[in-house]
Amino acid sequence: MAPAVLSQLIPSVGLEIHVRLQSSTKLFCACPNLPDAAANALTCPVCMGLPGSLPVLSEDAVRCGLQVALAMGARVNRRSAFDRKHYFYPDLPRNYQITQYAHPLATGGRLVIGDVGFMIRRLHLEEDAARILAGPRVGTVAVDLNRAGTPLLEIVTEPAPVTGAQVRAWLQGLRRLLRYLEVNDGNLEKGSMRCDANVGFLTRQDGPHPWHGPWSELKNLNSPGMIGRAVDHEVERLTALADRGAVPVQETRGWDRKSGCTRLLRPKEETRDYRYLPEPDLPPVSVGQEQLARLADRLPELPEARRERLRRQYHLASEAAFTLCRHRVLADYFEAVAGRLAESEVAQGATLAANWILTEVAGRWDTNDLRPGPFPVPPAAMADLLRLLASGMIGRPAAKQVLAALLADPGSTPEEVVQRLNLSGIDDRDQLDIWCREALTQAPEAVDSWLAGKAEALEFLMGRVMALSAGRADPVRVRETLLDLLRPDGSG
Amino acid sequence: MTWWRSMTMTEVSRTRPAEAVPATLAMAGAAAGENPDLNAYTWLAPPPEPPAGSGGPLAGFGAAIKANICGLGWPTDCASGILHGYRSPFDSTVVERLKAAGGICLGLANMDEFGMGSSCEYSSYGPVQNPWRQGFTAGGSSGGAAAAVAAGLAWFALGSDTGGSVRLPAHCCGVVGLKPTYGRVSRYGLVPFASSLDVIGILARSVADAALVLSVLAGADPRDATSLEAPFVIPDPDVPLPGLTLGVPRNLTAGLQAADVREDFARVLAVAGDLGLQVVDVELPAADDAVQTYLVLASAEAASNLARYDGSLYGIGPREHGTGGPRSTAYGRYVAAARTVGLGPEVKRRILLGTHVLEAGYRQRFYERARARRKVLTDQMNAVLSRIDALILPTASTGTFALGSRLDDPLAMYRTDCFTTPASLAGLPALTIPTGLDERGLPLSVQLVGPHLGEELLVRLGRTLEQALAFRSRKEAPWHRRS
Repeated sequence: MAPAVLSQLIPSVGLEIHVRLQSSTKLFCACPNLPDAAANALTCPVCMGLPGSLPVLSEDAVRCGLQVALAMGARVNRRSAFDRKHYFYPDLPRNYQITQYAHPLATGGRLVIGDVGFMIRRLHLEEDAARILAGPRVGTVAVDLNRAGTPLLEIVTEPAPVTGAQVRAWLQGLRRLLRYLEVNDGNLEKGSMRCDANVGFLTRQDGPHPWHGPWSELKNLNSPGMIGRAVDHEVERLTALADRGAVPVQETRGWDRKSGCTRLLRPKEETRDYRYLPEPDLPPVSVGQEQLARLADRLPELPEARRERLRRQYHLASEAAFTLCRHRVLADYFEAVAGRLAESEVAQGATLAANWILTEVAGRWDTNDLRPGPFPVPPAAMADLLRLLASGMIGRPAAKQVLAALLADPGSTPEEVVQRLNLSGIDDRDQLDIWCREALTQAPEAVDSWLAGKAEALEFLMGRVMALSAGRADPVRVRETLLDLLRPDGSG
Repeated sequence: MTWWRSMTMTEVSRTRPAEAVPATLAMAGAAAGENPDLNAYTWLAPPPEPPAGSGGPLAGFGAAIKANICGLGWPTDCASGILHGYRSPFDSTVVERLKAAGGICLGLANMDEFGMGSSCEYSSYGPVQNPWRQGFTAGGSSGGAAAAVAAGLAWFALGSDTGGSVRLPAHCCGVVGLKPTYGRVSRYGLVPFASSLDVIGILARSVADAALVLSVLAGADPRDATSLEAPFVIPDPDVPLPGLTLGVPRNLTAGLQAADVREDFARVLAVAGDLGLQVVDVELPAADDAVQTYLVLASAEAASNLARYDGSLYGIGPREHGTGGPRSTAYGRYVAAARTVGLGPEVKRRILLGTHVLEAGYRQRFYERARARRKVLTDQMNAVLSRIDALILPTASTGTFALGSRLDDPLAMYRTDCFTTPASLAGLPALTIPTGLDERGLPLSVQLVGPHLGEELLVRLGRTLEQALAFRSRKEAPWHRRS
């Protein structure tokens, strides 16, 4: 090993991510793809590997994989193929795993999240193994085959000179993308996305360098945050080694939460010989140009791009655009509502819609479901409701009441609800005058602040009036009335 | 002697269809009585219920099913200790189709363990006797299936052919053996030996019977991704055979040592000539090392397919060795012990060979080279078969052999397959027809190899040759005359 010139070494990280694909069935049989069902409830001769059973590829899983490949701009191979990877372990019913080794589904591509980009080396399909549980007696294991044969997409990146924080941000973006594509539920606690990180070095000059590594394969890291911390720690450790002139050795390392350090799991063995064999039971997977074009057509605008567009097109704050784009359905809903408000030329309609949807709709809609159902109040009705709010016909508290009523009875229209509940904004001058005067009497200190030049005091007073009117007062008129009363020449 | 021992299904259907069921019941009874001597069956099904309906092309006919084909509740154990006590929880596609056609399963047929062998001596149930002469092999690996048909203890049988395992026993027992094109019959429910070569085949008393069974079995199956959308329609027997050309692969037949085999083959070619068939010489140089190519590829796939038998889900695990957690070396010891106890010598030999040829450092020299050879051979055979209609060659270079005579010489055993492995490697259909007897009075046969999905042609050719050779009207297995 040549002595390392530290200044020439740039820490680099390559990632291997196993993504559970939420196809309807397992990869090679018709069993439902629900690994969390009662132990061994969802098994059949194929995923149990019983003698005489044969795998048949799920087209739905291939479609999920292709969507991810297209979203990353990867080159989908016209023909990919499965291989058998052999090793004896109780979590493999056949003692081989069916995976795409020599001919992956797709190669190349790139995914940029914010300012962090990783080049993609390959994406391939493979089956997951069974889950191993503690057995009934000491020294025994029990096997739950529900997970056996469920589809995984393995994404392998090229090494990139990134920090732990950047790895974390990128993985979080990847997770959002996968959820957005509705191929993965993003549930990290349940192992929906499992990531290994390979830490090594890049050098400023071309060509191989004895210090490239990768030296450490970080395994069993179950959240982007943990991976980020482990990567930073590992880079520090390796750099310190280099500093001392020591030579790193290839190791498989894990993360010790308590000490906040990586720790040795095992030295990297000689590359294991898996004796890959072309899977004779499965013909090659051919992906036609037409099929690809169809999938590409149906590929939604990706969250990164959409966020930018929402910001520009609707003049949204970055934060609002970001949050709306966390869930495809939410962003779709927003655009449907904002579009209708724009048609009826509601001023600031998009901002109103964004704020309203993020505060009132998002919390009432379980968008964490992988494929959430539609929000019970259709965008047209929601636009009608917001139009009433924008016109001053109803105030915000009343609008919330209308929403609650619409949720309870999705058949009704906002106008009907406003009438039925007598919520229409009260702009009767006399009544408004009474409420406003009462508010001023109740909060003399707010009046003083206003007179002392504190603008927020007006908002406070408005809130009191709205409360006195049970939300029915027209806020525009309330503001006018209060300003009138607070004028030094007013009667207040 | 009872009539059902020698009559074909085709003849019965034509002349006495009502007697199929009673004859099958009588056959089942005879099998129960005679099997201890013949050892063709590893398991006899409970006495068959006469089927309710009379419909279906196989209505009332009983079959022996090779013990590597799954049926619901059957002890499909591949004649292996490691599957001892295993009962399949599902029907294979062929069994499903056979039942739907009115067929009856008489029992599971003895075989070489997992299909690895050419003599049925590598069976956990002991060897099958040849119905023509005790002490001789029935061939392998579908020896039990062939013996049951030859002895009159099954109307027909389902076997499997990976490198000749249907054709060789047909040859040894003097019955018809048909190996369809790879993929024409679903493999779902066939316990795999070498998945890219395995084909479910048919043993029958006549070419017409084999065709009848194929018409029931053939066709695509959504549960087998390698199956082909190619149903089989029995060709009309009244349409005369046009002038066809048969090719003799001279580089294979030139080395025939046994005079009786050579003479029998020459006689068959002469009969073919008399029938108006043109016989020409062809060359298949890549077939010279077909057995070696076959052995490397089949063993590699076998090592993979048999990895699942680790003593945890099947068979009786070696309890005395204890169990261990997956990470502990105890787990490795457990698996090794289960396989040491449960698998037979030939299976172990192939697993070791198959593991070796895939190992890093040897893979290029063996596995990848064999794959390339297979491609060359396949191309050669397809090219030849685009110029001629079918290949004609003996099924084996000798007649059947005495039990025990090749057990100590695995290479001699492997060479038994030198005429059958080419069609397996190329995935082409092949038909073995009994022709005559060797100088010991034991059966000989000829093999026709057709183009991809050329079973219709093989059946037409086979029926014509069979009639001209008239083997069955002259000879039958003397099993029922044994003392």
